[in-house]
Amino acid sequence: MRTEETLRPSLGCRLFDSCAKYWYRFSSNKLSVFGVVLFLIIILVAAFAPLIAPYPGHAKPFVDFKNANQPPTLQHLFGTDRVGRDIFSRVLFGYRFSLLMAVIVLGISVPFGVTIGLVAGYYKGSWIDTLLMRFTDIFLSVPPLLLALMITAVLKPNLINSMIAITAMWWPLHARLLYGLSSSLSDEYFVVAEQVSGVRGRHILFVEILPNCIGPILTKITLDVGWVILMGATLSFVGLGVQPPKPGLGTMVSAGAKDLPGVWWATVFPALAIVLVVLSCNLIGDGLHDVFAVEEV
Amino acid sequence: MPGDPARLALGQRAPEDVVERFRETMHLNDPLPVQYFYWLKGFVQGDFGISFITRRPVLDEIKAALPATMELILFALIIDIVLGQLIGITAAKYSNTWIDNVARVTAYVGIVIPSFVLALFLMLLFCYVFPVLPTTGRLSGGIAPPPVLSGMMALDSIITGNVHAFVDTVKHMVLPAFALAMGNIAQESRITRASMIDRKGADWIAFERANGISERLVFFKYLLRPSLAPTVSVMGPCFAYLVVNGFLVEVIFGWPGLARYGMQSILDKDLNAITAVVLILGAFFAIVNMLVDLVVGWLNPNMRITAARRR
Repeated sequence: MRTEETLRPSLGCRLFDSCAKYWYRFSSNKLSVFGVVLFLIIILVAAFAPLIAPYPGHAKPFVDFKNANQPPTLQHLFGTDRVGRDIFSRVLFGYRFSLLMAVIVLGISVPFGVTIGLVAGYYKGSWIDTLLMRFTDIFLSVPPLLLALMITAVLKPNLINSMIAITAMWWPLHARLLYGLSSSLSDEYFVVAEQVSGVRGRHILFVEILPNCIGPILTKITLDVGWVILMGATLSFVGLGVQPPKPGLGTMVSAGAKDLPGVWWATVFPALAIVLVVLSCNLIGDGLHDVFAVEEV
Repeated sequence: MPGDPARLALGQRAPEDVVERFRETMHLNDPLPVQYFYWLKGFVQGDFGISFITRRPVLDEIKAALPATMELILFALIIDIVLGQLIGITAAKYSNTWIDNVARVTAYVGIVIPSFVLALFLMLLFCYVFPVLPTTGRLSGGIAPPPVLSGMMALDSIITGNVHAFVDTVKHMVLPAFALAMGNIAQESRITRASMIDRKGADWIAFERANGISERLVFFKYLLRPSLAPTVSVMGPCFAYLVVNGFLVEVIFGWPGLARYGMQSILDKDLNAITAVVLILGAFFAIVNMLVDLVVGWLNPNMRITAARRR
């Protein structure tokens, strides 16, 4: 036993190996690689927004009526809005809110939903399953956007509360995904063998079953980043998310929509920014889906 | 609750005693279970209470708004089914040619663009750049609305033979319906294409061909019909998608429907109206999901047999 252990390459080495293998498969899909590049650019641009943005001050309360409603030029790549703020700078800062939202919402809802689904699926058919999954069904029965709209409406409309609303509608999706995976895996021989030899439930759940679900979870998270950002933008669009003058992407679209069609750039560019981030996440998600689908076969 | 509904209903300048009286009449000071009891008592008598904002019975307002939404959703559903199937079938028939690639890219774009962004883009393109379609409402100013029979304007104007009003109201519907349907068109065309291509190489298809059955019959009866089941089974979620995105699209196009009414009542914290809208939408989802199950059972005999065995 010992000798075998020493002969195996180190964990870091193995990890690198499998990562290289996955990347090789992933990179065969050029569109997905494009998605990765696009997404990395968005992250970098958001992270360094104060340095990149030509007018960082325009993301804060700022008014310059002399330069209001300027069409796109070299000075203002995306033009300026009705109070003279540079839309390009505001879009860069807008990405910060969007990415922050994705990180926080998924950071809370994924572990929560995954745990619930994992446990419920493993104890399939028992009262634990019934309790957890019927609780999940309550959330799933209301259309997601409607649920988020109602929660934000009851609370005060701002960024934090829109995150709470989206988290509340998001975890059931992961719970359902993991329920399916976990309930089918719990019939597998390697799990039954562990059960027979008296291994504790917690060990089976998190060390045996969970690592086998990483592929689908990762794929779903990637797609989710796009959808969460979109949902956040949607809530901002109807006035229940990021509040002006803060530059939320959805907030900017709805503010710009008041000046259609004359000042089209105030709507079109923030809207395209939303589409771009959803697109990049979808491209990556598709690529991951193919990579892990091969693995399952 | 932050954002006191009574304060919102009466305005910032209303004196405190008036607001207090309003709370009293609307039972807002009672504990939640008691409030729920009052609501339930009204509900079983078919009374949803009165709107905080307009002071009219919520039921009347919903009765006025519901047909507009139904009409829009039905229209979107028709566009959705026709185009979704057409694109999916064409892509499957000419799989791996440029037609297929165009269809795939279109589907991808449809999934990625959120409906409210698409709504704004369509409005910009067809109302302002090429002003061929009207921007808001259900009917242009100069045209007399048809008498209210079903409340669905297109249907009413056809029944009364008013061609002019019919054309105008359909023109108003095209953009919002298309903005709503696009996501579903994309999804359905992808599913139809995938399930038809899956079956293309099946032995029984080769068998039908060997028996000399015409290519057309093979395509439509033996390839398309079994491929419809997965498409129909996503109709439930698709319907939900239409209704919920209606909350945004109806607002953008000023469509006087239930979703816009719901959206407005959410923003106004008009509690009676919100409960009523959510209840009605929930009932709709339940009915639609049941219908979808029935149709899927009809399309896929396998499912009927499994269900019967379980009994």
